[in-house]
This record gives sequence, structure tokens and C-alpha cells, in this order.
Amino acid sequence: MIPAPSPGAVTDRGVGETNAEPIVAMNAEPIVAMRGIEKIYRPDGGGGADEATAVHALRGIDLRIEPGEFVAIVGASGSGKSTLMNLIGCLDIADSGTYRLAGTDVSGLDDDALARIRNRFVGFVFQQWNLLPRTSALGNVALPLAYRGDRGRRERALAALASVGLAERAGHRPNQLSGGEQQRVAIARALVTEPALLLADEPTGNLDTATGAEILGIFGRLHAAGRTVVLVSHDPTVAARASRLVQLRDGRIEEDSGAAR
Amino acid sequence: MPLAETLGTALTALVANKLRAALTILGVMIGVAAVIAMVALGQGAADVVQATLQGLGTNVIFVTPGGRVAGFAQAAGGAATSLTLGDVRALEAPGAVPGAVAIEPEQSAFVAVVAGSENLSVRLVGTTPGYSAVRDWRASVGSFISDGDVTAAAPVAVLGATTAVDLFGDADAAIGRTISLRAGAGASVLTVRLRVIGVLEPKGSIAGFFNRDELVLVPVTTSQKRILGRDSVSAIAISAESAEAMPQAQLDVSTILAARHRIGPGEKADFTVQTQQDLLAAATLTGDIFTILLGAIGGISLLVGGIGIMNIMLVSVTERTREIGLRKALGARRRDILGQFLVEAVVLTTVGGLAGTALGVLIAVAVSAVSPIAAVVSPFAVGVALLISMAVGLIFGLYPARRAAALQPIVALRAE
Repeated sequence: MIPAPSPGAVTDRGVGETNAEPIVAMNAEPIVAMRGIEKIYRPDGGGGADEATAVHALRGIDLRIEPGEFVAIVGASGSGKSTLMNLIGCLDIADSGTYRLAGTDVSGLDDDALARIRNRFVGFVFQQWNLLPRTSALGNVALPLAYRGDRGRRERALAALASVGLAERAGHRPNQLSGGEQQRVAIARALVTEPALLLADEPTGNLDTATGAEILGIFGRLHAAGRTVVLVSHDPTVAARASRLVQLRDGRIEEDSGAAR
Repeated sequence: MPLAETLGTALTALVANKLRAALTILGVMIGVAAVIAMVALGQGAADVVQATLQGLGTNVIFVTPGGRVAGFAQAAGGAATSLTLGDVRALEAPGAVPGAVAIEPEQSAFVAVVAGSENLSVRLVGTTPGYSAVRDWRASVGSFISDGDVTAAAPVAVLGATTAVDLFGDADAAIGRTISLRAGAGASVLTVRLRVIGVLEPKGSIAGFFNRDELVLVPVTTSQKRILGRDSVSAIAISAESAEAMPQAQLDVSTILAARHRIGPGEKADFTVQTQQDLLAAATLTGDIFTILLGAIGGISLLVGGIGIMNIMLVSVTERTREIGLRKALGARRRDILGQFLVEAVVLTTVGGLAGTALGVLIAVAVSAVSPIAAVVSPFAVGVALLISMAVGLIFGLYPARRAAALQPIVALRAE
């Protein structure tokens, strides 16, 4: 569906220019469609005998995110935003409710099926970057492609690195890069699979203000290029960059600036 | 994930912890080296015994003093003294053993031989002219022991080729010379002077160590009366006319000796009648047991190496929990993670196996160089050791790899 960009042609292009339209055009369904999602953590691992110590992390979440949206999920710690992010990213499954990700019902899928869904639909950007320390920037970016066995991984990884302006740093290891550069490598890794959804968890949490602004600028441009971005943060200045704000409190959506749409 | 990429990932992880990987490899290496060296030496020892027995001659029946022990044919006569020259005479009587073509008694001991300034320790065998026929071994120079020599207990000797050269420079020079034998120990040491009447054809050594040409032959009567001072013989060898004649000849020998020794039916005999095949079978069995025991010792050290692998892989899984979480978040399935850690364990044990094979061969060669055992490194043993070392990686890597594969991505990502 999406042709792999040729490595030479993209080095000087802006973020996201390579694939502006297809993601919006290919799928009329919402990227995220959650209905009545609940998540309960029980200390004994789900046996359910001790209701008193069970933590009701999410108490009925209804959330629709359309293609091309830039959504910030905010809330105090303990509000359930990390749990919600894990569920949106298919890192965890809900106890009740239904969730369709890019048109695919993911409730009741097993570990390996969820791994495939994550690989196909979700690009993760973590607060701690989570790059493999002994692997080059290029190798890190190519990693998600390795798990789907695609051909032309090197070219696509180079193109993704070029799209965040790090083509010349492809051979560097993470410890040879600055914090901002490492986060850009992580963004390239999230983009390389052309995911339906870019999911970022406190992406500027470990960066200074200037570098953080630079990273947020990249997300802004990706959104402008048509990508669907969901950003989880407790920082109001970060959340302000998004076009829609979802505020969580005590496991419920307290406020949703885009719910009317 | 393609295997080549998994292999690359495993190598990267191992190189990142060089010392740890090296120590783990060392554990497997020692195990494999132990298996290779032990089996090679066991095989070498068994080959020596086998070659010795095969060198005894064909269609030969051996009678040794002492009974059979617990179903095992006795390989050496030991200290029993039940066989005498009278037994030999009885077997030699016309028609006693129709299938026999030659019979010879042997009375053997190690003695010191002195000639001029040369002084050697060699095997002395007191025998009869039958020795030449049974062993198919003639004098190349001079003459063999004659019946007359036996009757007269003549002070004569026939030398093995090597002994002749060692004492006199060459075989021809030995004829007619005098040697002194010294037998016994302490106060009972006694010196006997013998004239050399012949030198045997060279037969060479067995398996590179047992030199059959280091030998002094004397008439059995001479050794009985003048040298060793005892009547009993160490063994009687009977050469049958053909392989087909062997069973009957064996039976005849047993019957005659049982009658002479007054051993009734069902009683335990004080002698053992064996063919070369019996001795070979017994020696092979002993050798096999030896090899299995040595292999088992090596196997145990390999097991210890395997436990080391499991230990280090568990540590590695714990340390890399975050990495596993990340890989799963990016789309790694259970079998990708399982494969990654299994390949890592197998790489460790395979490298250990290769290094261990090299070390094992080195040990076997070194031991061969300083001992009489010529170690036999069989490609089969090497192949098996390598396969087993890879299997050790699979078996001991499986549990840690399964633990890694079962990690939940959110739990693993949160780990510090």
C-alpha cells in the first residue's frame, strides 16, 4: 500500500512529507474505537478473591480517535492514563469493554496476535527512548521491520532516519548521540513500519525544554502531514500542542475537547 | 525474525559480556575436552590390549592357571600355580588332542640381562620348540631351541631381535656370545650364564608400545631348574590345525586337564581354557566398560557446564528484562524471544564444544606422547561430543528462554 521511499530522495525532506495522504485515505474507520473499557488490577494477579485491594484503574472508557487526529491524554498520576495508553497500544488487554484498533477487534487476542497488531498498527515512542545500547541507530530503527521479516529493511530504516534528520548518524550507537537525537531515533523507529497510530508516552519527559520543544515540533509536523498521534503527558505545555485534549481523573474521562466531533 | 539476524543479535549480546561468556564457554569446554580425551584414551587402551591379543597367533588355545572369575574369562594367569610340565606332556601324548599341531608351555618372568657393559630388563620365556610353531616365529640367525636343549636343560638362549641389537649391536654378532641373567629379589638373586644360539625374526611392536622383540627365550627346563626355580608354568598354548578343529581341541584339552587335576563334573576347575576369541571378547568388553565409565565422567562435567549455562542465561534474562519488553512492544512474538535466547545458549555451548574438542584432542595427543597408550580420537566421538554440547545449550537454555518469552511487555518495560 505504501511504497518504500528510496533512500537518496528523502534525505532533505521535511518530516512526514514522504507519506502524507495514504493513512487517512486508506481507512474510513476510526483508528481507536473504545467502548466501556474497564481495567482492574488485582494484587494476586487476577484471582479476584480480595476485592478490597483491587485497583479500578479504568472505570468505563468510551473513546474514538479518528484518522489524522493529534490527541493528548493528560491527567494526574493515578488517573489511569498509563493504563489507557497500554490498552491503546495493545500492550495489555482490558477486563471488559470492546476495543477496535484501526478496524481490528483486539479483545481476546493472545500474546502473539497482540504482538502482530502492535507491529502492524502502533509506533511507540517511550519516555526512556528504550534504544538497544549496542546497536547502531540504523539497527534500532530497523528492529520492528525485522519482526515482520520484510525485505529492504535497511533502505526503509535509512529513509525513516532521514525523515527525522539523522541520516548521517545512522552508524552511531545510542551512547554517541545526544538525548534529543536518541529520541529522534526512537521516533524514526516508530515511523518505519508506517503505523496507523503513533503512540508517545511522555516523549519529552527526559529532555531539556529546548530539546523537548524540538521533539514536539516533530510530532506537530507529523500531525500536519496527516498522521494520527496520541501523546500521553502530565505536562500542560506538551498537551497544549495537541489539537484535542482528553483529561482523565480516577479512571474516567473527565473532559474531552474533541468529543463533540 | 530470520535466523541470521537472531544469530547476530546473540553474538552482539555475548560480545557485550565477554568475560562472562568466556567463563561460561570454559565450563562447557572443560566438559567436552574431558569427554573427548577420556574416550580417546579409553579407546587407545582397549586397542593396545586388542592388538596384543591379535598378535598371539591364529587358532590358538590358551590354558592358564586359576579358574574363571564371575563369568569373565580371565585375561592373565595371575599367581596361580596349578599348571605343570606334566600337563604339557599329557597334552603332547600321541592322540591326546588330535586337532593340535603344536603345543608349548610358557614360564615367563621379567629378568635383568647383562652382556658386557649392557644391562637390560626384558621378558624371559621358558618354552619348548613348539613355541616356534604355535607363534609362527622362527630364528632368523642361528637356531631355535631344540628338543635336546629342553631334555638337557641346556644353558642356551634365543634373543628377540631388539634385545640382540641392544646387547650386541647386531643379530649376527650375538650368536655364540654369553649373557648373564639375574632373577629373583633381595638375598635370593641368582646369576645364570647362557650362550646365545639364535636370534628371532623381528615382529615389531604392538600399537606402538609393546615391543615383542624385547625377549629372551630359554628351554622351559632351563628356566625351571636354573633361573626361576619353580615347576609351574604360566600358560600352555596349543595351536589347532584349523578354526573348525578349535571346539573339539578345546574340549579335549579341558577333559585331559580335568582328569589330571582330579576335577569332577560340576566342580570348579583350577585352570582356564580359552581361545584367542574368548580373550579378545573379554578384553573388548573390559575396554568398552572402561570407555563408558570415562565417557560418563566427562558427561558429568558437561552437565556441570550445562548448569553454568542455565545460570548465566537466567541472569541475562533478568538483566535484559527491559530489552525483552521493548522487543515485545515492537512486535516480537514469543518464539522470537525464545529463539533469541536459545540461539545465545547454543552459540555458547557450540563454541565451548569446538574449543573443548581442540583441547581434548590436545590432551589426548599429549598423554599419548608421554605414556604407552596411543590415544584414538575418533571422528564419531568428536561429532557426538559436538552434538551433545549443542544439545546441552538447547536443554539448559530452554528454561531461561521460556521465562524470557513469557514476560509481559508492560511488566518488562517497567523493569529497572
